[in-house]
Amino acid sequence: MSGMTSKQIETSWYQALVESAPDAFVLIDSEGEILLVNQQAENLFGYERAQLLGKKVEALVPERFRGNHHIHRDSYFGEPKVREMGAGLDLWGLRKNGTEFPVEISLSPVLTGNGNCVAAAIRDATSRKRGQEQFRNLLETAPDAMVIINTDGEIVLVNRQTEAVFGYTREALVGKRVEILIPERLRERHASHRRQYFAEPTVRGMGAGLELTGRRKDGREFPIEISLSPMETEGGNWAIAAVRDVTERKEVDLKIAEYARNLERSNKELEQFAYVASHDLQAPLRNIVSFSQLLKDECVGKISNNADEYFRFIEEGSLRMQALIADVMELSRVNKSARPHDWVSMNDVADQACSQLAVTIEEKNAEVLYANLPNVWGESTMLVQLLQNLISNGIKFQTEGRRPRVEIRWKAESNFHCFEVHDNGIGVPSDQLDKVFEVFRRLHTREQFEGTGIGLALCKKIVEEQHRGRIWLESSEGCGARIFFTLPGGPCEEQRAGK
Amino acid sequence: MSTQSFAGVARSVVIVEDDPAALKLTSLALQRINVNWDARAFSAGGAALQYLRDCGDCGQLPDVVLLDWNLPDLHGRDVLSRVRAASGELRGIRVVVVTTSSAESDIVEARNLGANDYLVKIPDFCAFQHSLGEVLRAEVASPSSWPGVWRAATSD
Repeated sequence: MSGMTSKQIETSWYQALVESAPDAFVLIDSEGEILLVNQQAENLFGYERAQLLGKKVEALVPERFRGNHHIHRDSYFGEPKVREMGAGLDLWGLRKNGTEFPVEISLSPVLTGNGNCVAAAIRDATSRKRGQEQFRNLLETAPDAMVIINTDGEIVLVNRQTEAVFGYTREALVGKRVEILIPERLRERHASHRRQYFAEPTVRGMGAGLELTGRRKDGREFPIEISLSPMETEGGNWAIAAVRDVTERKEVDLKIAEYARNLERSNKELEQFAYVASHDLQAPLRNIVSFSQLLKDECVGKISNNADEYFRFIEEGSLRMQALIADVMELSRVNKSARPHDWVSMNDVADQACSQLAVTIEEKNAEVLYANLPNVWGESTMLVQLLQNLISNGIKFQTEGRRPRVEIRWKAESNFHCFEVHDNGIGVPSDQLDKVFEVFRRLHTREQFEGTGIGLALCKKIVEEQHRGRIWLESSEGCGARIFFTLPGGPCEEQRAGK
Repeated sequence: MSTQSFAGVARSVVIVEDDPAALKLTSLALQRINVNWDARAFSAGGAALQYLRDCGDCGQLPDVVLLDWNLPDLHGRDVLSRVRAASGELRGIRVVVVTTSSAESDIVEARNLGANDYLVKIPDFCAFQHSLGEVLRAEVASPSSWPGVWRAATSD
């Protein structure tokens, strides 16, 4: 470096600066002739420096753009200033080997000894283009209509799905206000919401809890769901809206709601029917029973011996019917008498059930065992009914001559208690386990065991409908029956909330 | 069981009952209680209410009203509440609700509306007759009419 003038030193600095720049540099004069290139330019275009100097710059431009290139060049020299080349256009470079590649170019005017020149800083845009390409593909293949807008609410970009959903071509949408996609009456409000969004842009659903409506080109409106995400770009802050047409889902929702309503209504009607039917059956039955009693009294000694038997059949039939009616009423009353739930001691419940069954227990010399049962959250009258039925079943379905024993055990689960009522009776064949909970299902003849077959149906209703529990039976014939049921260990959420 | 003493006093009773068979049973039961009951029957609530008002106007009210609950025209609850809302002596007349329903809700409602007693029409005639006798004897024996002592003879 010694012996260089300060001018020479400066020049060598500039040279080093240009050579080491990350972008390719090409200096041309007003005729388009290349005056200077740097190392990057050689690498980028694949030429030796000597092959470029003195050549027209169009050598670096693909054939198809060359025709107009000099026109742009001339116009630049007419008004030279630092700017991007071909704003908004795709620019392409041509390598020596004939391959093309996307480029970004910045231009700046330079005054040299050769007059007005222009320096072009050229950058390979291949990887950026690829990124854009991927973004575009992503957008195009998205299942939702994607609408990108700027802070002014103008549509910047839409995808294919947007065209399908809203019925516009993308050309008809880009540059328009996004409000074109919503019903007129909602547009003003939307514009103010849009401004609020850009003031605090986050990823979120639009209009939480609101019914959002879109508007097709043909004016047809349809329900939509929208997710918003902010997007920072060179062009400013944008927002991406993913719009989903939920017409079908709304229809399905409506249908499901209607089914649920119908089901609830028909259940109510059925319960009402059971109540009214059983209620209205009582009066005629009473007349039959009472008048057959009176008739029998009048006939004593006047008619055949057969008559006694006939009267007995009438009486037995009536009594059975009376029991059935009473049970149906009880079953339908479970729904009607839903009293508020509270803490209930299952020990007290078992005590009460046993005292109701005192006569049977004594008659059969039965043993009912339980101790330290927990408190549950429920309705005590129903729970007494439950245990009464289960204990009485355990005593009733017994082998002749054997002392009935019913044991109640329990264990705590996470938020409920599981109870087991275990008897030493005849048990239930494994293929009948599910049937025992059906209304009026009897597994035995009336001669074997008395009953209407409603007890376990009632238990199921009490446990599963009134206490959100579960009831099931485990048994094998001859080894007794084990009825399991679960009850809440405390109030559930909505009850805690004071329902 | 069937002979219950009413000290031979002539009593009057109004029966409101739309089912002829049930009316027959109530009448038979009254006969068998072995008292000289002057019974007058109505098959509709409206007519019975009118009759009772007329009786009240001339100061000749019956001792007891046996009131069916599920009446087709004017429901038993309406008859009862209108009686209790009436002016004069009618307001205090003894009313016994007689019905097939043993539903707790019906019993509670009848009591709240001011029934003196509640009698279930059970199938066993002898037991019904016995209960009816008990109820009537208690009613007649009680010094005041309504509100008297609530007994609700619902079980057989």
